[in-house]
Amino acid sequence: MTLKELAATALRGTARADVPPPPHTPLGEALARLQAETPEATLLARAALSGLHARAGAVMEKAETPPPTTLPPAEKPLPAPLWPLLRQLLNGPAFESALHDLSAREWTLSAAQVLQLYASHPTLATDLWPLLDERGKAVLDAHPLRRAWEKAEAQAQWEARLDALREAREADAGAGAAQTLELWKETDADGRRDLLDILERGILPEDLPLLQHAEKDRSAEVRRRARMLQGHLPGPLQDELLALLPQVVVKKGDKLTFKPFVLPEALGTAKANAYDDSDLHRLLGALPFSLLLKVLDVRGEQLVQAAEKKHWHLGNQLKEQRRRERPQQEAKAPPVLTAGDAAQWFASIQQKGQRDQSTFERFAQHLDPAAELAAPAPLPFTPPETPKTLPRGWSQVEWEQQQKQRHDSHQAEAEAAWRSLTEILRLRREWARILEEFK
Amino acid sequence: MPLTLTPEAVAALAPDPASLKAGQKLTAPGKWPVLAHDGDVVWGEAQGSGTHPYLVAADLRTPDIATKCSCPSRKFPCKHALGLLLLHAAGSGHWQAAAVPEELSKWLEGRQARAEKPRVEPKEADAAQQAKTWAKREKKMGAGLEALELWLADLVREGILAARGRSYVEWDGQAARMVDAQLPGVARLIRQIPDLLHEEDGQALTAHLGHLYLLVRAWQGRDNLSENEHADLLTALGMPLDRAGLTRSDTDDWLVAGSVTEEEGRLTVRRTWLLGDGGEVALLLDFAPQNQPLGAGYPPLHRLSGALSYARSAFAQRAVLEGAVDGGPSALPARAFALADLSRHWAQALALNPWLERVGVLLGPVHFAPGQVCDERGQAAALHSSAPNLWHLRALADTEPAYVFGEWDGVTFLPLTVTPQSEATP
Repeated sequence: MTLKELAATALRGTARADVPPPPHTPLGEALARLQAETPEATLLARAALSGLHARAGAVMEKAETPPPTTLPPAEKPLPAPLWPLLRQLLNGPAFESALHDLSAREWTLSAAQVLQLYASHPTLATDLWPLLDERGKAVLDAHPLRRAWEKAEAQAQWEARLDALREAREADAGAGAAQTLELWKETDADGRRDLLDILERGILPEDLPLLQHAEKDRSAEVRRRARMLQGHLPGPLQDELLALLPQVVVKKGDKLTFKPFVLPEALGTAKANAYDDSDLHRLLGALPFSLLLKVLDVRGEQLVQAAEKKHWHLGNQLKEQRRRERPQQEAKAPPVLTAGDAAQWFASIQQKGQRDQSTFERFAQHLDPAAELAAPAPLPFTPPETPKTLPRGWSQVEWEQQQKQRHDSHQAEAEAAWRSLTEILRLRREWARILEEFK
Repeated sequence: MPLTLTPEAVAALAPDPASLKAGQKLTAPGKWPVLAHDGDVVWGEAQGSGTHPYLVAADLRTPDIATKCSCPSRKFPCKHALGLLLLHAAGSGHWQAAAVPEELSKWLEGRQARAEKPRVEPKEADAAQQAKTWAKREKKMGAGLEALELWLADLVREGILAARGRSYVEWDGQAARMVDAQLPGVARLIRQIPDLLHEEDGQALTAHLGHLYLLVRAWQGRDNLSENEHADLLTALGMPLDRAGLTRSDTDDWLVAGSVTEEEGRLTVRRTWLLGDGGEVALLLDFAPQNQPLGAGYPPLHRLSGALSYARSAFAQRAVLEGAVDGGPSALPARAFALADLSRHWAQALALNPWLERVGVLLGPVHFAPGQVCDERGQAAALHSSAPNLWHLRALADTEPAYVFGEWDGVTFLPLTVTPQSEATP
């Protein structure tokens, strides 16, 4: 008799089912000795013994995986004194340079360290994977961290190819356009969108075969953009669109209105009832943003606002067009910041009471860690002039108290900013000092 | 010796992951207008959403870290205390030497006084009075267990299928009757029944009812039990720890092998496992009513030195520790049970104390597979549902065979601490 058979009787109840006889096993013999006056007591006693037998005699499972191969320990693990500092630096804006220091010195992190950092900073997945030691990479081989890194790596390689393509198009239009077409054929819809962006930034007459080829693309969005981009090239289509544009976008003073029109056949047919496609979307998208402004003699913001009023997505499309046409910003050299700049920043917080996070990050990253920052001395409270009308239900005293509280909170905020900044500078100093030790 | 705090040790003190995350957010020194230390007491002011900052302190003079905060949080330690401890462990922020404010000194003095207070030996109780009290309680317990026997028989006669229609109120009512009969251990077991009631084959519930019946029968035959077996029965019935029956351990040196905090009905229970140099295992239990503070406890993988006494039991495991002094961090030792011996160890323990719910064991060398802890011979034990995730366990082992301390309940293993083989102490 097993627990299963006893349970079958217990489920139905001893009023409806008999207690099963014990089997001829050592356990059965022990169970047979448990004979009480009532079937209920017999069942419960036997359940107790069977339960204990089951608990005590659990059989081990078969391992589902073999033991992992023990890999050699890390050759250059992160020096122990840097680990707590790294964790603290990762909480602040100076984390990039800290991670850069690690990779520059070829120091590695263990899987446990990376998981700890990943748990509190999931956005750093792509930065952390390359820092893993050999063991860590084996342990976390199937972890989402790896997939995130692979994705980012593929994206970085793609960006590099796009950069090379941009340079090639600038150097030799014919070769550049041919290279673009080649890349077009081997990439997917997302990649083709990126290529269309490049074309929109600086379209070449040599791109026409690509645009014509793209008109047969599987993606409706790619087909639509390819048609519109043909209008960006000087030629009969652009002339037709330029003639049509002033009839469609009518300027009355500062106000722009959109009149009904018939979309030229070359731009295809807009999808019915689609929020992101209309005749107007196609017409405005088929001309470079700068040319739109020139022909209509309007400001960029004026056109965008009018389009937004017509439909929010049309406004977004024009904003995108404007963004793509803007020259790409060159990487700026890090700003030179001094303790004086920081003091000015603290003073502005004392006045405004708000800490701008981007300014804080700039100071935290670029201020010389040896800079001596004096704590901002609280400004004396000068009561502002009482407004002619106080907020409803407020007395003069309450209003003054509120002004004082606001002033105090501004001073406290400035002091908190000073504390945060000096702490990050201290961490950076400490980090640099230990780095020097392990040079 | 003051406690050596590490961020990992502080993390282990958090009552739940959310509190730890909130505490970590408070590790920006800008959120602390004041950070100070007075000897081994650290304190600070944490800027909350209100006008006045919260006053937070942690007493690190003893290994059982105590914290205090003026915030209204019911979690213990609260996020402010965790933030303060994390800042201290990381050495972040501008710490100044300053005497503790008056609001805190009272609390510290109280703690100091309690620590220094000579242990009052329990009064020689009036034997006659004690016997009278016990007889009264015994009568009550006996009556309660007699009623339980009848209730169990009725349940089995009618069948579990019929019982599935009963409302929760009925089970709670029976549990309450057991509490009235001063049998809280039985009440706890009855409250577990609704969770097992709808299991299709009814095996777990049948075994559970058998477990309850065993308590009844053991009580009826208590005169034949040995002193240790009798103590185990009383513990299973829910009698509080009998301090008079404590037996001092031979060793004073222990390793905190891990701890786990769980909600059990209206109680928060923390189990802290200690491992002696000779492989002895001791279990410290801390209880607090729900939403009441539970002391901060001992950080895992730290050595402790203190007077440990085992509670009376046929399988000595539960213990109390007094005057513990922290001995710094340490790894798990390399003297462990092989997985193949786990079943035998458990069966032996169960043979001594059939009421035992779990044992603390050091296993190794092992590796981790999805849902399993495995040995090199290909045997495996299932991991408990609340075990840390597999990535975490494998990362701690770092591709090496590892030593793991955890709880075994006969079915699943709950890992609490892991040390790779190369780092295990000899």
